[in-house]
Amino acid sequence: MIIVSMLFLVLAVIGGGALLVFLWGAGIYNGLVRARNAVKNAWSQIDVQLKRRHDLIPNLIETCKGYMAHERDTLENITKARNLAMGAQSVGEHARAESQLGQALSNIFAVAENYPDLKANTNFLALQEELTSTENKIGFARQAYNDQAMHLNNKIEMFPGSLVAGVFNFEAAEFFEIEDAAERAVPKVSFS
Amino acid sequence: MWELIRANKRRSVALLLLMLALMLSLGFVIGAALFPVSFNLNYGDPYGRHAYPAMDWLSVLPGGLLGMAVASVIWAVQAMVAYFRGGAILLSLSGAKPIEKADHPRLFNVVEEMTIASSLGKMPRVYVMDDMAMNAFAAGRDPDTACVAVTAGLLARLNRDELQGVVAHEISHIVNRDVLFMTMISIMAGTVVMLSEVVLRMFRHGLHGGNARYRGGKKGGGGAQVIVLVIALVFALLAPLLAQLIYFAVSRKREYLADAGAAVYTRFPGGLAGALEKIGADTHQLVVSKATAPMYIVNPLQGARAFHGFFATHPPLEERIQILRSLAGGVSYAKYQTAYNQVHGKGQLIPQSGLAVAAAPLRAADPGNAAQAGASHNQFREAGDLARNLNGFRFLSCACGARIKLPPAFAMQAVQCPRCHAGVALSAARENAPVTQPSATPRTPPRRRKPASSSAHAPLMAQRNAGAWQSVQCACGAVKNVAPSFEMSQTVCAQCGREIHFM
Amino acid sequence: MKQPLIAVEYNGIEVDYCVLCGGIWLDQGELELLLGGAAANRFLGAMREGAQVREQTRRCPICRGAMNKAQTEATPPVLYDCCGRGHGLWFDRHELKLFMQQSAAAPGSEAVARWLNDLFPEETPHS
Repeated sequence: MIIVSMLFLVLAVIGGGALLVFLWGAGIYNGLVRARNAVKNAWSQIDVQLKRRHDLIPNLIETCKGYMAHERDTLENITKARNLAMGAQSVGEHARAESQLGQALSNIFAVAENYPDLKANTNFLALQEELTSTENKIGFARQAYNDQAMHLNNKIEMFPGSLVAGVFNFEAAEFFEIEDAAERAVPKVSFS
Repeated sequence: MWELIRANKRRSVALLLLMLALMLSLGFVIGAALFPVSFNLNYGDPYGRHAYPAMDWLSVLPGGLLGMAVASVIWAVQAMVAYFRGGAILLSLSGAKPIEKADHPRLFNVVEEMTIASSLGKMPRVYVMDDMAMNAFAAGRDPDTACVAVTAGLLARLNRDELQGVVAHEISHIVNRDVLFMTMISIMAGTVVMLSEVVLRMFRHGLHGGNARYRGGKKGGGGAQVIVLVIALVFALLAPLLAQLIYFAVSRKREYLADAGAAVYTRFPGGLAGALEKIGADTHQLVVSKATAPMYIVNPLQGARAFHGFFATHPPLEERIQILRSLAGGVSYAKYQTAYNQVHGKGQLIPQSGLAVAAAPLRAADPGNAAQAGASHNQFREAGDLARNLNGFRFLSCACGARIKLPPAFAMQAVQCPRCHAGVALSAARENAPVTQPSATPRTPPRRRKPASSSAHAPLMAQRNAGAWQSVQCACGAVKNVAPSFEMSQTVCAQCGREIHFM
Repeated sequence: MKQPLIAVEYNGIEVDYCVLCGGIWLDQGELELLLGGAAANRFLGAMREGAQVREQTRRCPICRGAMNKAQTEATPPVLYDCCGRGHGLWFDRHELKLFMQQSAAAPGSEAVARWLNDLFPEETPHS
């Protein structure tokens, strides 16, 4: 009788311990999933802003056309860069095209300095604000993505997250590398 | 960043407990002093309490517990109101009104940028206060109910980077849950002050004889009772001071922390520093916008002063500016902590766990700032117009180029253009205008369409004046103001729900 | 019967204007905006407050307090009202124009005078 109840007690202790370990592991797992979703979310935020930039460009071209008769090349460059960026396949291609687009945009705003009529156009001013803000948002979104990626990677690498991450194949997130200096200083949109 | 938020929460809870302890002990002492209950075990002995002095100390218990209960109830009721309605109350007291993106695209964009930078998840609602002083605040108990409010004066004078710095500071308050915490702390401090006030009044009352009838003819009480009264008096004198000291210290620390957050989010500490410099140099503190000036009713002075009371809870501006300006070569909480120690002296501002994150590179200044400095006049006028719109002004355009802005209290039906003396009337939306569909198809459908009523009537047509605020009068008589940057080709009357198309 | 001031904007500059009497109100800081900071300060520094004149006391449109009379040192002196609490300045009809003509030395005043002439073309100051 005593042996049976002892056995029962031992089983209960083991069972309880296992339950605790399971709950603890589940908590860590959930934390990892949350972090991974946050990374995905942050990544999609960058995409949202890049798309917004693509959407604004036709309006910009339309507004500038009437004033910038002599800047056909500048305007065409922007359209070209936009098409390139929208059709990009690989990640590297994508990054290059977006950076090119940023430079083309900064170029047109620099040229706009010579057209006082254009600079007084309310439509143009509104687009300027939108594009500045979009450039900012792209920059902040990239920074936020890197922060989230760092958060996830720390969880994956450090104990006890590393145990759970190993079992469930959590992969470390890639950082958003900013290769060249031109890109680092988020394409300047000159509005003076 | 997340470790920082969690560490902050722990600290908040600790401070709340400290304040709670202060409040409850004050309640106890007051209750004990006001409602002594005698445990007279010595029947027939009129001096029973003197015979068993130990029993006197028991006598403070019921009153003390009652006092604690009363203090808790006072606090709990206020805390509940603050929790559920606090944001709304603050917003309505300050006169802040919600705006849409078209009303001030730049402010909207900046709030959106900072939402992204801080990974807040949900963009706070944006409010503007019609006040030419420079100020801003955040409200709401959590990110879901959060709002950011800025004054028109701020919009009138700050450039893009500076505005971004101020908004980032407020968003940082939201991220750190400072609003809820500070409200709870301030309510506790308020309860402490209130209770002390009650006690002090009673003492004064007692000294002057007062209403002896209600004291049941009991005189003085035993020795213990006197001691309890003295303790209560000392407590009532010291507690409010202590409560306010805690409150101010906490508040100042939170401000530094929000500054650090702003620097990290914007990656441009110069923006907030510039804004603080302008706010510090602002001589317009007592001026209220011209938008309220013609209304003749409000006392703008009072409003302005009450607002600046908030600043007492802030650290000196010069110090905040100096810390921000000394951040160089990247921003992080660790760098802010170092700068804080250099400028302010010792003290752990940011919990250890928040210091691990690597520094982010600084961002370049917004190139538009120079242009903004040149066009400060326009920016001023735009902010003024926004404030007017919030106050129900009507915007009229004369054919001669003059623009006329009528305050809501303006009683005359027609107004003569001061320039060309032609009569200027409100731009009306008409039904029998040429029924041509607007050439530009709307990019986005209007947000607040009411399908039932809009299909019942044909849409009205109105002339659109580009580049300025414009008031359009609907057939139902209601006036709709349209922002200069309102891009869509149609809007909806707020009163009757009819569509108004622009030609 | 009283009427609140209306705002009139022309060519990007605006002032508060009384439709009944033609007077102009400048909020605190607006003179600086019109003339540029330093010029406005010199100008306000040159004024003499507390001029003893028999003109009806005016009330500040913001705080309703009685305003002080002030006048310029030029001849003929321009008499205007300023709010003791610093809310702003009141100019009767034509006074602002005269004021600007007299401050011709200040940079920006000429442009403002031109602007005023453009906004109120037929009102020629009787100086």
